[in-house]
Amino acid sequence: MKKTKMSADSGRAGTLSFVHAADLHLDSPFTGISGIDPELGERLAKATFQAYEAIIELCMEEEVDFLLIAGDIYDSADKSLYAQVRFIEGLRKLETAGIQVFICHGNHDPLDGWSASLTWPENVHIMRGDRAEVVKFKKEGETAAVIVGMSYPTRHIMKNLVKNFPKKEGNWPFTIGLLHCSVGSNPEYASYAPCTLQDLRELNYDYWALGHIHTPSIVCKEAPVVIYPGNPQGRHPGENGARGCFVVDVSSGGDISTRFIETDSVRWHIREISIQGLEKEGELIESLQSQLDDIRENSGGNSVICSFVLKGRGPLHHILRQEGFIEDLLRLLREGETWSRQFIWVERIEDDTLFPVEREILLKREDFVGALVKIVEGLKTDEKSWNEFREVLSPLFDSRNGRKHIARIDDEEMNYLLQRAENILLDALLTEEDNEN
Amino acid sequence: MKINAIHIDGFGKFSSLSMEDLPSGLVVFTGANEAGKSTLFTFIRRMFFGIPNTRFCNLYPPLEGGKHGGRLAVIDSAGDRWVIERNAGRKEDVKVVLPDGNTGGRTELLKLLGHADRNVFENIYAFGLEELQSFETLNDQSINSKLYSAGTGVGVSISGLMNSISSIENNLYRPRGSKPLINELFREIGKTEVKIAELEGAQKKYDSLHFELEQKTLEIDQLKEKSQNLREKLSHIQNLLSVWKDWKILCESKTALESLPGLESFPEKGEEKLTRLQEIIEEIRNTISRLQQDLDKNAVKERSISPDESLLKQKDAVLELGSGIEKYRSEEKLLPSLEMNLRQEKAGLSELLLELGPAWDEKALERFDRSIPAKESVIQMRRSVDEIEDEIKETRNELQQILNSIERVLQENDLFEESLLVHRDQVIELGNGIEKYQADKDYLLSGTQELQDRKTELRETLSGLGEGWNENALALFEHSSPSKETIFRKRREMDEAEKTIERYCDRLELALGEIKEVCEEIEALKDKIEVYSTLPRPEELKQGLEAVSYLRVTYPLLREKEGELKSLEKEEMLFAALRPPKTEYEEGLPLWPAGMVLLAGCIGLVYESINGTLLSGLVIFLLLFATSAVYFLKATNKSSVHPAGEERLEDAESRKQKVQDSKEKLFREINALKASMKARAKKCGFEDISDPSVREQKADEMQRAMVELKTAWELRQREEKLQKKLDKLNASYIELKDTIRAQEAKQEEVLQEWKGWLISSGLSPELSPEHVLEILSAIRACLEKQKNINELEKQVKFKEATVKEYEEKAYSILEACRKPISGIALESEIAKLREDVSFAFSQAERVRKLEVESEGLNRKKEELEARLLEEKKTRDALAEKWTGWLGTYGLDPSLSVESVLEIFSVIRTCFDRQRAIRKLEEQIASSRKSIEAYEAKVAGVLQVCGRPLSGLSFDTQVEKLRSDLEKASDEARNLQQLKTKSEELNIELEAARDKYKEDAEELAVLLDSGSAETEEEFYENARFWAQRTGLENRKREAEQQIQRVSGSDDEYRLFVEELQASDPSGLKEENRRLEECLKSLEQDISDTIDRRGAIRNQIEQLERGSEGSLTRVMQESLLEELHEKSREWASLVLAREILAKAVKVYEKERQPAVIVEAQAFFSKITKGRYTRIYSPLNSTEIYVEDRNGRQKSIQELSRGTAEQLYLSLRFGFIREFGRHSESLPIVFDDVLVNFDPERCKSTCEAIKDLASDNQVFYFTCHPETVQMLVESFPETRAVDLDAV
Repeated sequence: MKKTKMSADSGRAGTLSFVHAADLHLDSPFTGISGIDPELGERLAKATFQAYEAIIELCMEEEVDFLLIAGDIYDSADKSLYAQVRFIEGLRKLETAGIQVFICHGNHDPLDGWSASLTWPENVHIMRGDRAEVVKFKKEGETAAVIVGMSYPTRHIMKNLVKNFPKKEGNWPFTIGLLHCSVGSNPEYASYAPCTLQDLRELNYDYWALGHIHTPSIVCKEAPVVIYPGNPQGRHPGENGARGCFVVDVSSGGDISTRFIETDSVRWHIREISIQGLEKEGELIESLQSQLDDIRENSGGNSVICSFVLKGRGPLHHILRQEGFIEDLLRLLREGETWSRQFIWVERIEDDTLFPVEREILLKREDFVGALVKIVEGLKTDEKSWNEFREVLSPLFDSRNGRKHIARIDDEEMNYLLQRAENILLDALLTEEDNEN
Repeated sequence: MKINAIHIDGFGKFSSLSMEDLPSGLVVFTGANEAGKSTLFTFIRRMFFGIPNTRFCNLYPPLEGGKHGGRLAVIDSAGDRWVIERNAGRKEDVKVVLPDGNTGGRTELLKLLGHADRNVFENIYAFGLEELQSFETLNDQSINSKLYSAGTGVGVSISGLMNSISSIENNLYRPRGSKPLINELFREIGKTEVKIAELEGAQKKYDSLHFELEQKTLEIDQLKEKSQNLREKLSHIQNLLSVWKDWKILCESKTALESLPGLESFPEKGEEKLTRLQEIIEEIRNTISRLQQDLDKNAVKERSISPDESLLKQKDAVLELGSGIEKYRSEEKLLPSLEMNLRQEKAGLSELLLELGPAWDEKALERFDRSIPAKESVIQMRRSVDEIEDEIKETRNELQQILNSIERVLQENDLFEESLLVHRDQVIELGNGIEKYQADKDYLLSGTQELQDRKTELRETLSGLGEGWNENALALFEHSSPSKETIFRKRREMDEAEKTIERYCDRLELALGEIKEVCEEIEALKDKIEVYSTLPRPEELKQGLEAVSYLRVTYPLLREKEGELKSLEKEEMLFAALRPPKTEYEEGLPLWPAGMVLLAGCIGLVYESINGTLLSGLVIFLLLFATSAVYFLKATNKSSVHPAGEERLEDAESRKQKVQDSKEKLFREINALKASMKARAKKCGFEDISDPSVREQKADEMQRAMVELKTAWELRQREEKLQKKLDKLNASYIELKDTIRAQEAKQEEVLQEWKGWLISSGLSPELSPEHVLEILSAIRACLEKQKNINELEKQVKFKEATVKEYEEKAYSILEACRKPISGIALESEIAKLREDVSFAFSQAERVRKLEVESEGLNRKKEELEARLLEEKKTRDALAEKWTGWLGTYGLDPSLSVESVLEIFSVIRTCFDRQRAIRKLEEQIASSRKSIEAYEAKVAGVLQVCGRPLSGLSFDTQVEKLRSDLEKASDEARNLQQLKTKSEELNIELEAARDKYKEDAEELAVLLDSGSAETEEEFYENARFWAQRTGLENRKREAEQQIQRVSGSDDEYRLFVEELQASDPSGLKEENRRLEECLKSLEQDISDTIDRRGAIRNQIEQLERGSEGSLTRVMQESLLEELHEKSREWASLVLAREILAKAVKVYEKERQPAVIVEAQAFFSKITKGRYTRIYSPLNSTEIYVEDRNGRQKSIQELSRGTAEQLYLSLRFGFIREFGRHSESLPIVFDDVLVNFDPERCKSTCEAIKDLASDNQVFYFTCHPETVQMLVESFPETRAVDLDAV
């Protein structure tokens, strides 16, 4: 667990301190990674729990007053009892340490998604789902903070829940809003309980502990401080970079200082490598190895899942296109990796290298290759042929299993696949001489 | 590309066949069957593409020998020359020599061939009738795709690519497959899904388990309550049962109590008390009687004792005496021994004094100084006397040693002898000279011998030189180098002359051989010329040839004319039979015969000019030109007569007339032609106009004769040349002979000169130069030897002198030394002498050393003697001093130091003795005094006690006194004791009497308290009382027991009532029943608890079940893989689709290009009869359209036309292929056989078109075809394979 400061103000002279986490997604699987062997699978299956344990340890180490969890503790769609049990286990630890926990549920773990048989420890307060609930946190007999929160009663909440929240009252001390919602618009995430920053500001709270957006971000630095801590463990290639939670210290004067603490045990990396100027396979392997060394050095002891994207034009393009070459390369890079505490798993090598010949030149050719490229080019405007081409894919994509398990191909991807198809043909048809030209 | 040259090392019937400089256009290979057309055809194919892979192909082994294989030299479109070489029939064994001179292999060959393969080549470029007739070969998929790929400019087979894509695609996914990757993934995902679904049920199960758990807990609580109730009930019954015994006792006790007599009270332990009292009273009585008896006994004892009072009064004095008795006894015992000691000591002292001397008594002893300094001075004296004695002894020893040494030196000195030493130097020199003397002596011997040998040798050499040669002659002889030089020159001259002569002789011989050869050649030529002597004259032959060529030209004309005549006749007959015939010749005579004649003339002119007879050619030409001109004029005249505006009948008539006219005219012409031809034929030796074959035969004959004539002329020319050469050779022969003669004369001259020189040199004139040179070298050797001998002689003499000198010297010295000359060798004599001298020398050295030594020794002796004297003096002084010292002490002066020391020790002992005597005397005195005191004391005491001195020793009396005293004191003590005891007994007796009184009173009270008069009554009452208390105790115990079980008061009452109401067997029954109930209930509870435990376990298991996590991760991984693979599959499918579409487009756009080309060819070949070829899309069918727009399928075409169509299609392909790729040579194998002449001709034109871009090889066995092709292409190269 590494500590990174995101705010300058330090010193624990504050009267209040708490940890703000969200989107634990306990026990939800890693996606976008293929060819996992059981040993790696085991490691990945543990990762979200390890991150959660790191949060619990952090709370105890920092001796904070309470822990806030802003929804999506686990994916109720997974119906993982294990996740719920392990979650409560962690809460029990906090109970023994005398640390309170305030939880609001989000779209992935609405109130109705939890097992009825689980009993929450005494130190846990779960926000109601029917209205915003105001809870007072008492420290040494006095109300030290007011926490206002609301859970998702069911999964799909599309209305602005902030409207249900009461304004901060005059006699309230430090006030925290706890909610799983989308502030503003973020195209990457489904818009649950949408609201605006203005909505939040109007309530005059001191701190908004939000959840839902997985990338850690401080939405607003000035009062009210609005923070998405992100998920404590990235679970797919898109969730790369450090992941963790926030420790918030509030001084007696009401000054807020926040620290971002990394909690992830497995980190995703995507590296782009240009093949330009590389002449031999050995040079590419060397370059990949050096990237791996770099990642290993800079991962701070974390395990890493990384993908390489090969880009650019160069003589290696032809070699990369050879059947089985990339698989061999992968095997080579994975060779000797053991599942010790720190591992580096090269998840994939994506060949995005460009054809050595400019496509414009090919389009001008009056031969078979020209005809071929023109057909692909023509498809972009010819809707009928476009649909015909889509039709040839139906044996797989419209099969029962295909419909069930394979993502549909949208127009953009179709374009990409056509380009790929064209590359396959050009690779076979163009001679080396052509390539050199 | 074109084939420039073909070299066959060995292939089928060909071996070492070479065809160079093949033109780029058409090459016709002609030959009869089995001439090797197919072989050559196959050779070209194989050179390009190797041996086909089929097992049954003809390998064409080299039948005529040679290495199997060969080479093709080709020139590519850029004009570069390549050589393709294959050997030994191995498929891959191809060698390509590149234009730059490097060698390459298959790859380079493929590049050169523009990626055309065997299939394309064999079907499109190189084909025979068979391939031509099968259209299917054209439609071969690979050819098609080759053509398309030719368009792409790449060497990839589209169909191959398509197949490979399909196969990868199928490996990824097949809709109903199970093995492909995606299908497998689906299966796998399905399996995991099921597993996940199972795992997902966990939460539901968990909740239901929890519910069940609660239920069970509730159930357990209820059961427990029930069991509690039962247990209470059971314990109540068990309580009842447990107190039943007590209850019974209680009841019994109650009744028993009621039956006992009433007794209000009874002293506790009354019986016991009574008994004890009785016993005590008895005891007291006994005590009283015993005490009285004791009192009586004491009184008797007191009266019997009376102690000695006076003795007791002297008790202290007696005791004192007793304590002194031991001292007294020991002193008494010691006294005599002390007196004895004293006596001994005194005797000892007087003895010691006697020992010291008569003058010594105790007074002298007192006087003597025996202090330590006195003793020390004595000791010192002794030490100095000892030292001086030692020194004297030492000096004496040394002196003795010196004297001995001097004695020894004197003895040695007597042995020395010194006469030899005088000649020591000479003897040593002689000794050193011994070796040199010996060497000189040896040398003298050998030198004399050698000198003798040399001298004889020289003499022998000189005698070998010849007579008259002796040492004097030798000195006279001139052997300077100039004379030697002369000899060399002469010899060289002679050799040269001889060699020159030899050389000329060789040349002469060569010339003779050449002459002979030329003669022979001339002879042979003459024979050859003889053969040609019977040839006809050349003029005749020339005429004949002219005639033949005329005949050759006019014969077809004649035939034509005859044909025309026949047709005219036929027409005439037609006219005659039907109606006025209509002449075909509306335009009059045809003009072409005139052209033909003119052409024939031209050919004749060309032919003759080739043969070198331009004149006759011109004649023929003019003649034929005239004929054609005449004919032309006639023809034009005829055509100008136009029968315009006549009646139809008239028209027919006139036409008939015309036909007749023309027939006549033609007839005439024919006759004229025949006449002229006959005339020519006669010239050729024919009777009539001969057949063309006969004519040609004749022509050939004449041609041959012509050639032979030319050969004969050439031979003659050569003969003349040879004759000329012969003449030249003869001339040179004669010249050579003259030269030889001149050389011989010159040699003779040189010889004479030599002889002259020899004589002048005084040598025999018969000697050759070599000989003379030998003599010269021998003389030189002799001179050398002479010089050596002289040198030797000188040396020997010198040595002789040296030896003699040495010997003389030696004898003189020996004599001087007085050594006898014993007759042994001089050398050993001298050596001995030398040894003696060296011994004497060393002896002298030693004597000198001894002399020095004896001198030293004498000096030392004197010194020692002086020292001895001095020491003796010192000793005497010391003796004197000692005597003095003795005198002062009054001792005998003769006493030695040791005796004095002894006296010192004796004196000390005397003193010790004196002291001991004094001490003893004192002791004896004191002892006597104390004995007397003691005896007086004893006597006093005895007197006081009134006892007389019995005469016994004092100590015995004291002993007696002491024992008497002890006895008296014992008696007194016993009396005292008895008195005290009596008093005590009296007191005791009094006390016992009081006690007895008390106890009697107590007994009376006791009996009263037991409501008894007597003791017996008392005992009775006591028994009743005991019974009563026992019963009451039991009753109380039972009550307490019951109370303890039941509780107090009310509960007890109820309990007792219950006890009264129940009976034990009923209770026991109830108890058993309840116990059973409880047991089963408890079983139920434990079962339920177990069940609850199981549920808890299940819950715990569910809580710990992390299997789902891994499964989900694996599922996601599978889905991701599926995603990736589905995209991969999609790309492949799309690629295949794009490719298919591209092929379609290409077919659509490219096929017409082939067909347009083919169409042009087809139209040309069919002379425009068919104008279009077309092939509908998606069909391999080909249709043709004639100029009237009628469509025909291939089946509807005649065989010839169909073949022309196929040919056209191939031409089209070739054109199209050549546009994108290297154009290959085209090879046709007699494809025109089924074509009519006209189409044949037009096909030739088509081939001509094709030949502008591609090299064309045409194989045929038909001479007409050859002719036709040759006619079409004047530049054609025809190769006759028969002739190869």
